[in-house]
Amino acid sequence: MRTLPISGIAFFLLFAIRALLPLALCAQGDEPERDASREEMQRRIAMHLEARWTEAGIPPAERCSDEEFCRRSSLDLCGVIPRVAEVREFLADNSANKRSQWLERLLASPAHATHLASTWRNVMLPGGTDLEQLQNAVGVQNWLRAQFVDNVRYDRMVSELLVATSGAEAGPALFYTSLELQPEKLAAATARIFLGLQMECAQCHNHPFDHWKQEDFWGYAAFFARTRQVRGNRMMARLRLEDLDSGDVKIPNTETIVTPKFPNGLVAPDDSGTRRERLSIWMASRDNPYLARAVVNRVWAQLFGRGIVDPVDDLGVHNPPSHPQLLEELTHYFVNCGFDLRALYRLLTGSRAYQLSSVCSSQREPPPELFSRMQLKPLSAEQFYDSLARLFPPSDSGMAGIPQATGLFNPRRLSFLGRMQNPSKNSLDYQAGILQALTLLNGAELHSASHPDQSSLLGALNSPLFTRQDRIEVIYLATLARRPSDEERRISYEYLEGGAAGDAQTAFADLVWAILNSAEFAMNH
Amino acid sequence: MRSVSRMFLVTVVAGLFTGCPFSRPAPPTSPSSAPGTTQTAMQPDSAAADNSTANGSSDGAPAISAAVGEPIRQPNDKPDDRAADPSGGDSNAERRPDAERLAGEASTDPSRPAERFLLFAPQRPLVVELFVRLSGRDLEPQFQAYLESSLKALDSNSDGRTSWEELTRHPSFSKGAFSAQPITTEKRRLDLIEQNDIDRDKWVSLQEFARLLSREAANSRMVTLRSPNDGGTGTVRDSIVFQLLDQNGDGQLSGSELDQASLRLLSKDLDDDELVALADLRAESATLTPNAPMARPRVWSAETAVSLGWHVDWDRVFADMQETYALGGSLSRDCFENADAFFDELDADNNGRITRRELERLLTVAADLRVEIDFHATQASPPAMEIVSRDATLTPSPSMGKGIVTLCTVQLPHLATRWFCADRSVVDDSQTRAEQALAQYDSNNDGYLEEAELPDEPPQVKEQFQAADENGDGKIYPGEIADYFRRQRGIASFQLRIRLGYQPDVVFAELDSNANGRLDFREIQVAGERLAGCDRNQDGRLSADEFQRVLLVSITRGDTGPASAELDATPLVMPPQPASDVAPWFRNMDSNGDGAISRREFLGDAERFRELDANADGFLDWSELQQLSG
Repeated sequence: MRTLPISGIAFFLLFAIRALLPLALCAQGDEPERDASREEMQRRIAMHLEARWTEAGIPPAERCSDEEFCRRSSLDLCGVIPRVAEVREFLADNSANKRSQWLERLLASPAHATHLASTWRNVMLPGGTDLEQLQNAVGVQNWLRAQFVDNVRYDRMVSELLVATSGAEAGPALFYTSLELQPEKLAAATARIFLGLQMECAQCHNHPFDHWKQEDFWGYAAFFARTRQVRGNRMMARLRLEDLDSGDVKIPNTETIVTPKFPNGLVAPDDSGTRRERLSIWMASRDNPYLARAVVNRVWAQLFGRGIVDPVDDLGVHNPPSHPQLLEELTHYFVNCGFDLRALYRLLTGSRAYQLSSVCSSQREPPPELFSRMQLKPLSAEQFYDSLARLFPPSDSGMAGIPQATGLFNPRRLSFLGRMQNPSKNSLDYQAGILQALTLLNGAELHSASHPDQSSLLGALNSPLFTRQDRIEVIYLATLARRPSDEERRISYEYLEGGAAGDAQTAFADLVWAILNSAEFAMNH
Repeated sequence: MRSVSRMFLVTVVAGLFTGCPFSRPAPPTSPSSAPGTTQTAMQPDSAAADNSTANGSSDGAPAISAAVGEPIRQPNDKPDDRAADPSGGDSNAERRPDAERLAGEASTDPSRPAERFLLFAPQRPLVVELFVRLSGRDLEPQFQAYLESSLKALDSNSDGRTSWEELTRHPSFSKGAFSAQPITTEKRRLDLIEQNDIDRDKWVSLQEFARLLSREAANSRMVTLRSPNDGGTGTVRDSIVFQLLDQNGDGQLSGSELDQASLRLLSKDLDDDELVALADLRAESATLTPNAPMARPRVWSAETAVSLGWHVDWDRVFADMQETYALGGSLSRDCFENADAFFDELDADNNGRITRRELERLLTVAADLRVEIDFHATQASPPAMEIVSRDATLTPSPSMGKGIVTLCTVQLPHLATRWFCADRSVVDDSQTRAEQALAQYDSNNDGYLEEAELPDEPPQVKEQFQAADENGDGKIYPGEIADYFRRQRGIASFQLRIRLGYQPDVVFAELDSNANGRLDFREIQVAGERLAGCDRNQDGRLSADEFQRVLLVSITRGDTGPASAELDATPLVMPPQPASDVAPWFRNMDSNGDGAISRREFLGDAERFRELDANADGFLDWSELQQLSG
């Protein structure tokens, strides 16, 4: 009888433990177990990053201050700067775990779901704020928000998106119509967004860098070939999609019909269900290695400014990750958590790497893919507007109370976004031109936020509750989420007392204007 | 489709309407003016005078009001607007002395109602009469006086009559004054005359003039009544809040679901400002544009109210009554409850059934509810409103006024009614509307509108552009747009719009204790308990029948927006606290505008907040901060 060598068994066991260790993390246990596994995972993140720091000889930045953490996490998780009262409370808190408690509060707030929904909507519908697209945008946003409020599993969310037909899923159905229900567009978009695969190059010829062939692309597009919109007989009929029994795609300029094929090469079994249903089942299955990895990379990119793979929607062999082992372990963690997005955000924002300062300690700028310091991320147009809106005059709900269109339909917000939207997909790279600069310097939004008679912040400060020093402090807290340094206090006070601005209210207005135009306000640092 | 001149009806300001309105006892009030005249109004003889006019006699005074008030039937009118024009044959010259006589008579006889309508309440229909005064004087003669003076101003050759030629050639008219469409071509001018000179006599009658000014047949009357029936039935089934709270979908709210109510509501606070508006809740469930009516299947239902003027479509009223009370059968005594006297008054031949002929007696029976409104001409105070019920068991509450709105509630059997009276003519929101129009259409953000920026559909938009462009330079600035809107308000200040509709979301209304259309944090916190209080049979569960429907009646003066289905479906709200009551800094700090500063909104430190919060409820009201502002 053959016996296996002892060393072979030992080697096998070691290998198994090493491979299975990430699986053991994030067990679906009760809370202390989950906390323990999260902390373990955070240690492993630190370990992987440190390995490359020592290898490159670059020291990491310091731990960020409370003020930096407060503002940064609020912008990243809720899309808006924190309120004065919240900053005060956080800074005054002395407990040891105040940062994780603060994160819990942010994750539980309704603004978090809204922010996630708008972030994902911008990914899914990159058309921007075009009025025609707005209907689609609202539908998708509402649907996404409902998913995020209930913290629906990510794989289930994507599956439902793919098989959406109508009714309550009017959101996802609008995603389909925004792409005009064309199989090649749907294939390119869903591959890019959910699988992180840029296959559209393979539409016309074999992909120049990656391994995708034309048959691969069209095999994937074949899943969307049988979806049609039902033409109702009423103008305002709800959007409905249906799947027909026939319809195929051909490779362009040929007569070759392509059968549906998953991106990992397997041919779809031809059993029950429409093509879209079969795709959605595969999407959520363990046979799909792309889904979890793509979303983990995307969330990392949202929080750190740059994905482990960059760009975030191009996870091909020609584009290797900066920390491959880290990406694998994070992916396993995410899968074993049950595709729980909230847990993923909790994990990453609680990690040491996220809480590094953005101040660069060494002379030369470290390469961004090392994550040795937090990157400066410019505020997105939506974050900027929503933060500025805290300072706007109270909504004009006078006697006649014409209700202002709120949220996505607010015309002021739309026009601001139209001017300031970042056309680049890379969030670190903001190309500001004359229009953006003048919008900030002289635009109506900044004007009403910093005008002595209109700004709600200045109006509220003009009360007997606050001394002049108090007011300076509140202005800094409201815009930069920190107290002014002694030097800044001195300068402001001198400007105030100096009378150069005329009266005190105008002086405060000038201070607000200056801060709002500063880089510190416009950056997420 | 967006029109530049569209305006919403909702007035949103926080009110101080605390407590459940339906349980407040109110002593029955009677008008302080001489009761004798009141009784006179309800007696058959003056009503008979009204009735005789319906038969087409040309008595001077009532005939004029019929002539002015009722448009001649046009093919596109609703059947309700059909009018037998009794004085069609009279010439213009004959009418004017009668109008003067009418003005003289009416000022001494305050007992003619401006409007009389039939309200389809659950148990029996109610006849409601509306008496309206403007600064103490009747509205109707003032309406006519306005028409006459405007018409006289257009009489270019001062011969005492205005012809259509004079009117359409007058410079101010052709530029769009008097809220008419501007005239740019000769063909347009001739078309206008063709459409509006109904009796083809080339002279402008008051009636034709009124119709021209309002651009819509229905709006040429002094009072228009609309009861749209596509805003939902107002039952719990349509309530979004109920569906939100009913997590297991069994149609009942159990104790545990009520405990979770606050959390569920807060999760819908999209912008995290501690306020939930009905529009936010609706936005989540409807994914079409917010301006579109909710796409619910249109169910035919009977009208909620029908105007009882000279032009009543009795066939339709009869059919509606049968449908509502007799399920399509004949109207016998037991179709109604608590309505014996009413039934007897109608059933002339005592055969136990009301026939269509007998229904016409509705024009003369005594009114069940009498609503008296006095609009003040200034902005200083809200209109005065008083409701008197003939039935002593119905006790209308005393009215509460805030800003430009007055609210009065009447609890009918099985139906709560809220009567809103608003005076929009004192509000000049032309500038705001002009800015909204600019924001909507100014695609290149240069601060003015050019013709190219306006949509081609509907064609009125470009016509309005030309009317607004007074100096003809091809650009309209916000100031010019605002002036244009102001010119359009002329006739509206003499017109009343009555709209009825069911409160679309009764559960929301129950939670919204100050009736301002939004649930603020404190209302959300007590949501569970408040709903538990509605459990009439104390079985620990809230079922659909424990919620009462709420009928909203709004009587608005000076509303210049076009009548449209969407506006009608918007629920009515109380205005917020007038800005003059609180210090500006308080209003600025109260960023969500709910009338109190929460801990999150406060800009000072927590220690200071605790000191100031006298009642420790987590909110700083103006009363707690007032002494600081001294």
